[in-house]
Amino acid sequence: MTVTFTFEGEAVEALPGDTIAAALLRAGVTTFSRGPKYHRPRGPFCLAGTCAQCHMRVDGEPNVPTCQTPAAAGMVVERQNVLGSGDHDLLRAIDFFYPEKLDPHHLMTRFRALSAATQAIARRLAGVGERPTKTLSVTPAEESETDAVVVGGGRAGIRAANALGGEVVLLEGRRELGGRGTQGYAPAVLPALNARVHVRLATRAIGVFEEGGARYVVARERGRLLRVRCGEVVVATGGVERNLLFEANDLPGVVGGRGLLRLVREHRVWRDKRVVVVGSSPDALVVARGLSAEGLAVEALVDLTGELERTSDLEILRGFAPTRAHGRASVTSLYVAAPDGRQLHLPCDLVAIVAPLQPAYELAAEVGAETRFDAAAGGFVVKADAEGRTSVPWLRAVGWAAGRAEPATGTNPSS
Amino acid sequence: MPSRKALVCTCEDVTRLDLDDAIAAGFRDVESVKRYTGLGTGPCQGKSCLVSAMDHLARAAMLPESAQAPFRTRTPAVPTRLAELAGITPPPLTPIPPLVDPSGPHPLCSKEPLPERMDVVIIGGGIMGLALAYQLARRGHREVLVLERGYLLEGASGRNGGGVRAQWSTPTFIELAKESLKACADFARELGVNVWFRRGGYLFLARDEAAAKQLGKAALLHHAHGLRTRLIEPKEAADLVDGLDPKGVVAASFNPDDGVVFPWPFVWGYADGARKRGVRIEPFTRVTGIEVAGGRARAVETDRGRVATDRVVIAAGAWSPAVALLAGVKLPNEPKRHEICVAEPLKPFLDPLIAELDNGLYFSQSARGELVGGMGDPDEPPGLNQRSTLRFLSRYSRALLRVMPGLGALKIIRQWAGLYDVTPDHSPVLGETPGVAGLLQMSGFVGHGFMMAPAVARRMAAWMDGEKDELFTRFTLQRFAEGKLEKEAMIIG
Repeated sequence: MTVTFTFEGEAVEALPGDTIAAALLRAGVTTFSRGPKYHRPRGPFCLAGTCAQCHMRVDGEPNVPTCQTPAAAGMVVERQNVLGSGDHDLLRAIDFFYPEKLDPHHLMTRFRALSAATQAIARRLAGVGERPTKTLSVTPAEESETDAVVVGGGRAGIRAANALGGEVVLLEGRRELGGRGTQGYAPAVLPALNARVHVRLATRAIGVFEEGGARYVVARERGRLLRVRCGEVVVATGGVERNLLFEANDLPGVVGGRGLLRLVREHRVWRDKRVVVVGSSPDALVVARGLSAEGLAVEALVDLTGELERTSDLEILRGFAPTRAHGRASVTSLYVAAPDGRQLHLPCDLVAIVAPLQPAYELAAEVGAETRFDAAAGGFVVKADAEGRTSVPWLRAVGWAAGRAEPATGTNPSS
Repeated sequence: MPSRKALVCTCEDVTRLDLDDAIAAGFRDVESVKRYTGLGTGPCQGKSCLVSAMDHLARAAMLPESAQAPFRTRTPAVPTRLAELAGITPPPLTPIPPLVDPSGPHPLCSKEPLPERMDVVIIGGGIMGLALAYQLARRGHREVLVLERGYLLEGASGRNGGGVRAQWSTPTFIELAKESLKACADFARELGVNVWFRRGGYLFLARDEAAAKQLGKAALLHHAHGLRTRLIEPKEAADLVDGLDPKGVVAASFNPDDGVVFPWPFVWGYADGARKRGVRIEPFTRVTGIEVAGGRARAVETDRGRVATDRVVIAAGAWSPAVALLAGVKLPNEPKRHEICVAEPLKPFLDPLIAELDNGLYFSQSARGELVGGMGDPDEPPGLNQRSTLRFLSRYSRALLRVMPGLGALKIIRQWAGLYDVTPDHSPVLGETPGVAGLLQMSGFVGHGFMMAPAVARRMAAWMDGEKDELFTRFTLQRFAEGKLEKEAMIIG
């Protein structure tokens, strides 16, 4: 059954299972938010609930991640931080007025009156969204106790949960298990879950705390918190989609590749688009082929390091890197260049960025687990041995969060 | 013309050129760059920008591999509503292991030798030490060295809520704060950097008779000092602040001239102003000893060598007792953790800073639109502990929703902790050290040093040049031995 919600006064239809973002993309909305300083248009990037580019006001609550929020009948959805309309924000003038940058620290400091005026204006401009009008009373947390908590229901988390003795609570932020195995790749065959493992889906950990002589994992689940007291914690949080650095890399249509593939598969949007995929890992190939299989026209695969194997089904531009995205409301082309000076101009509607996922080390680091930079993983990882042991005796880190690639990249699931 | 920015952080609109600006301003460690650019301080908490920023710093600022660390992780990892956090039963507070000091020199410790001799060595590169260095330099001192063990905002100067108020309970503090408020208003012009000072007023709430009486007593004193503090009815407080629930409030006081600043630029401004006048500021440098001979301070030893000097100033905030011990001096100060957090940045909805005298809750809306607030914990044990707790998130959310019940859907995006430098009478330790000539004290500001620093530093520099000032004879270490305490009652947090 389709449901109808309101987007800035207009009715928008959502299909069963749609997030707000999916329904809006299907309805042709490109600008979801505006940058806080320059008011540049932004569309969803990570499509996984980590970046803030798809945030909107929903039912009187500011900054709701629309890519994670199921569309519901009667919802009132609005864009934030605009003067005029979401599509034509007058404050975008700031971006053109300061084409290089706006340095707030040294702006108009010389004269008292100008300085005071600047600060007053800045205060009006600051902030994204208005205060909530939705009123919520205190929502009691579900407080429980178990032997171990595993954060992350990907392959590594499932394996760790199965291997643990005692009762285990497994927290997964998405609405299904599988982690990267389902993050856009070919459906992965997941290990069966042991009966002692209690799964909580759509539940995202907000922190691990050690205090008052106990350890807690706290997670958000549909409008309330779970506070699970436990003896042991396993962090299997995988990684976070990130962007590459090039001009106008924030233009709507520049999207995280893995999230894009999942979006296209799950919600059947954007299937008539032309896409350029950027990345050098086997993931980039999986994403390019996956998008192609869903009907998108893959114009090129921009291979940053030139290490991808040649293939007959894709045009691979070896050793090129993006220099600039072009377009007004959303991407219409991508400029790429090679170190030898060759430049190419690639018309497209979407740019799918497949950078290495930033390993999600945060939960472990907060309780003092040591991290290290891992060039292969492309980011900071939790220092852990082969069994996942970290510098914190009761906390282990497994999978990508510890820089260990699970054999998850889809094509040949091995377990 | 299309604007060609390359975005590193889309939460806060930080571009590649902003990173270059931070590098040009002398920063290359990721914590400083984070604070200077705003990188990673938005709702995503740096999940998407850290690696791009690190790549750029490694290349453009030659950041050595040993210094490539992620910025300190802050909970909650996902923005979380106050109504949800308030639903957590606060875990009991028991002593937890304090942070372990990393051993060995900091990866960014400079290889350059320190000068052999300086007139003044200031230990602590927080607002106190830097403001003093700036004031000394303005008075013509050139041989001034500031030593900071970490980056410039690592201590309480980078961790406070930015409140500046004249509503105190002793004449000394009122006068100091009045001068500081003026310094805030003039700061941008004088030092060339915006501190986003906003006079939205301070609204104190009292929920019991003792606190109400304290407000009444203070208001009388404020009038005698020319402040515009008004005692107001709870109903009037509700008129002042949209959404404030006056239920349970028995008295309130409001001063429209108090305000809030963005604390970080103060530190940059003073550091910059001092450097331009010849002061040497050395971050990432640890003090390992203070040489005392014949009843005089003679030199400061560091992990980069020894610096001879006749005057050593201890301005190390909550670390001051540990630093003083290096000279064999015992301070009565105790470090105490105070936790604080920010909510998602929103358009202006709250003008004054609101503080509750009874439970130590305070919150205000920053120039960036974030609701910044904290709350003291009566059970907090002393110790150098800067860990964040679930207990705080829960207690703070409950206390905040009692004052502003309509904010249940507001989301907390980041929490941290800083250290109050607490003295037995809540007044500072200043002036000479009995028995160690040339060892000068500048500590014990009990969480309110940030707002006192502009005035205290100016007066201290003048006093060091020989001007008489009762501040540096009344508030000495001696008073604790002699039992002449100077009790300040309007402490919040």
